[in-house]
Amino acid sequence: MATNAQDIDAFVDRKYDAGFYTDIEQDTAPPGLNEDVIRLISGKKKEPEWLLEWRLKAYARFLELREPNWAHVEYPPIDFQAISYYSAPKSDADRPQSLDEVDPKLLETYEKLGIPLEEQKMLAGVAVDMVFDSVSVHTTFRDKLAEAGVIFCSFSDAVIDHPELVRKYLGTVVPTTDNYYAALNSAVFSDGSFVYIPKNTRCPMELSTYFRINAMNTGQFERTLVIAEEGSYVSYLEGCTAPMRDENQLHAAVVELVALQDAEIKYSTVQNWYPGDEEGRGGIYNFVTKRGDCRGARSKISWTQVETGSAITWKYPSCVLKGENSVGEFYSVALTNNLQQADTGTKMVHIGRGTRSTIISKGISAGRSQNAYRGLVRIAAGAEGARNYTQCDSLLLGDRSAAHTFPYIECKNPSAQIEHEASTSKISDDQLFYLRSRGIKQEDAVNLIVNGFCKEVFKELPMEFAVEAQKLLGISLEGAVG
Amino acid sequence: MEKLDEILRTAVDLAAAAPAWLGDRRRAAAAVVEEGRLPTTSDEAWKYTSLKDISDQPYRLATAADALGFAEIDLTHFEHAGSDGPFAVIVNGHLRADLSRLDNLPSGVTLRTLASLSEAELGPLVSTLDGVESAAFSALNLATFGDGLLLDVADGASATNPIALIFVADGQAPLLSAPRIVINAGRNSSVRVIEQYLSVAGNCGLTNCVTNIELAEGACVYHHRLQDEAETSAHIGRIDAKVSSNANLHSDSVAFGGRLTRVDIEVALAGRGARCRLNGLFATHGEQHIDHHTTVDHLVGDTHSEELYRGILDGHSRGVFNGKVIVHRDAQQISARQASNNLLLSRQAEIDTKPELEIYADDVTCAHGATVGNLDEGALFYLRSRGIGNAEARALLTYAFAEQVIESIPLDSVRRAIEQRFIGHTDMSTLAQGIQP
Repeated sequence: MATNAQDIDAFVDRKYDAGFYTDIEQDTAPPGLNEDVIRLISGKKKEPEWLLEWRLKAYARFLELREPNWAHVEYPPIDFQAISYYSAPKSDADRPQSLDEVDPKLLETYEKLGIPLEEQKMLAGVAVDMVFDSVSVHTTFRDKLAEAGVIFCSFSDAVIDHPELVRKYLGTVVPTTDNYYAALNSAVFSDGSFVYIPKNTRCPMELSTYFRINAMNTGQFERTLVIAEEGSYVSYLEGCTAPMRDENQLHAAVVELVALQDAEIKYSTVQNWYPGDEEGRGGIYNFVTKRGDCRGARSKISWTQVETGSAITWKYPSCVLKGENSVGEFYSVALTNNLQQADTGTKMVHIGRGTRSTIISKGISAGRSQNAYRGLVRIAAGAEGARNYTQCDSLLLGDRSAAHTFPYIECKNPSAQIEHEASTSKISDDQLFYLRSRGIKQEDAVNLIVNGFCKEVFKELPMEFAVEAQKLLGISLEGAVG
Repeated sequence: MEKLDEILRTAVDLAAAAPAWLGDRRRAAAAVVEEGRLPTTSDEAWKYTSLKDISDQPYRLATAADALGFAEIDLTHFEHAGSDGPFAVIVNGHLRADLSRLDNLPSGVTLRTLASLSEAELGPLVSTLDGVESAAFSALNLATFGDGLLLDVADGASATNPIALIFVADGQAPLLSAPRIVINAGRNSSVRVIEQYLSVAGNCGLTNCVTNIELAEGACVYHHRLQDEAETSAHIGRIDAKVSSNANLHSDSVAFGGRLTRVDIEVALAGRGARCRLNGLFATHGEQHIDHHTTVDHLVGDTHSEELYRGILDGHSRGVFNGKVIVHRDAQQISARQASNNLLLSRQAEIDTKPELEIYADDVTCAHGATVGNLDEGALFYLRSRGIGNAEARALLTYAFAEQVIESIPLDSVRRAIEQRFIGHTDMSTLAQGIQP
């Protein structure tokens, strides 16, 4: 209990720890969205012609689409013309090859965040591909990965160095026409990560990327593509944190995963972007499209997410289970406080025979926040013997918070078996009383119960992420003690 | 609906002929329909149910004359639930007093047509005709209903004998019938109402019915709805119920019939201690499409709801269930349970189910569950190993699945009727002799 014995008030009143702003000169495009901006982005990145065409096609589609309004969230209309779509650190031209070459201010930022590279290197051999704003600045362990044949690089590098792979897989999981924000991302994506695991290879370390949003008024449009060839395995970690800012920032990322026969991808996220202040001012709009394609037989994709940040989260990591006996998993903890709004969940689309999926979703809403689970389980007619188990629980802390559940279940195959259960309640007085009567302080008791509530999800996280997740979780929240 | 404009023109004539209080409401409702038209599959509430078949039909609004073709002898073809007690027969939306038996209504219970009432007599019920126009079909019903019926239960009256309302869609022409029922249960009264929807073979009409149920403090209403129309008919029904403090609503919705059936049940738990229990059973085969949407609104604290819906889908049919529970702000100490279980028996059948929770208070215990599956292989094997044939074993298990809903129907006569009907509907001839309900 020692680590959990924080004072309740200190947590309630605590400011956003990662809230600071590093003043680095930016190479920023003027605000506005049009074909010229897209040409500018593509030109800056020295992209081949086909990718520019691809971007422009996505933009044309974006213009036809309308902003979705079905999610259970409310926000003022976004002015897409007021956003600058390109921003890169000045040092882009000659990329630093070692820590010494990295802008000291950047290093300072990481130090403030408590994730110095040196320590990261030592910690369980994690390679960190840092994304500071839009351009990948530093990559470690590249050599070790190269030895195994693993490609782990920034998306822009992949476009130059491995155009055949990018061209083959880009947009095949999340097409440019998929939805409003995916189309926007496809048109203006800045950078992101690219991972390729060759046949029968177990990636020698867990791959990790820190996304940061730093420049003011710059939407971030990350594009991540992970390809796991036959019989390979990779665990990918994604963590986010952003400086304190008063203006809303839009983040519309796209993540595509491709798992071929017998391959397994484990994708973990800890999301802690600035959620806005107590009155809901500022904070990130997180409108993300994440989807994995289980293309081969016995392939597996597992999503684990801990969502504690962002003013608005709109995110449904999904699995398309095409391969026979392929497996999809979704483990999620979503915590909202103050005026945060989250509409998150997953989609499991069963197409192949014998496909299985598991959904465990834990929502915690405190303050005046709105927390919704929205999920889809679809069994196609050919998905013989498909199996789904869904459990989504909500914990309410405070009588102004709200929790919602919107599960869609569509089944066209009689041999499929689907189970869905959901519950919503507050922390039981009996549990609290039991712990109190054993001499445990009220805040520790609440902490213990909340952590226990999320345990099923935390145990799916890699160790160092699990530690971070426990820290991030609002251990003590206003109104928790009813 | 191609002929919607013509139907709305007829509605204007109806409004002109109606008493002032009703005419105004009819006109307002017609305007709502005209403006909003009919929903499409891009509307969330109609995502899984296409109205294309309905829209293409050249419906004509049924008039009182359309009710006259139906004779007493025809009624005997149906096993209607009201054989013993009082019953009203409503043909194509119009009351046929000559076919009905209303002389034995329980004491304290009256049944009158809405048009015969003055606004003063209608009293507090006026409100039930307001504010429901947001739903297109509810508005269409208000604009077009023939004889609206008011079932009034006096304060303290206890009517143990069920009152059956038998709705018949008659004729082969595509007629739009719009029955409207208002049930007003006074303080501490108790009443059982059966709503049974039937249609003659080959009928291709559309029944668009709305029932308003108002439960005063401490009232208890058992409402049994049985949709058993021919598999060529279309049916869009709605129940709007308001439950006051310490009142209790029990609703069964059983649907076996219709090519396209949609039933919306909305219950507002408006007073402390209000409770409702919603049961549903639907069994489909062939090309049938049955859609249930339920909403339970916990408006105040200390209100409780329970819901169990079961669907059995065979052939090329499709079933839809959408159950929503809303707990409003400051409505504390709520309990709400909901279950949707579905049995898929055919490779061509489809079920779409969506149990929803929307919760804005914290001291609540809410849970829902949904399952979809086939018959349990283990249970089948057990029965087979005891010498029971495959077809019979499957029928037994299917029956057992439905029985859990049927057995909770608190009225023997209704329960028996539904059991018999269920056996007939799901082609369980092998079983029919074996089961003695």
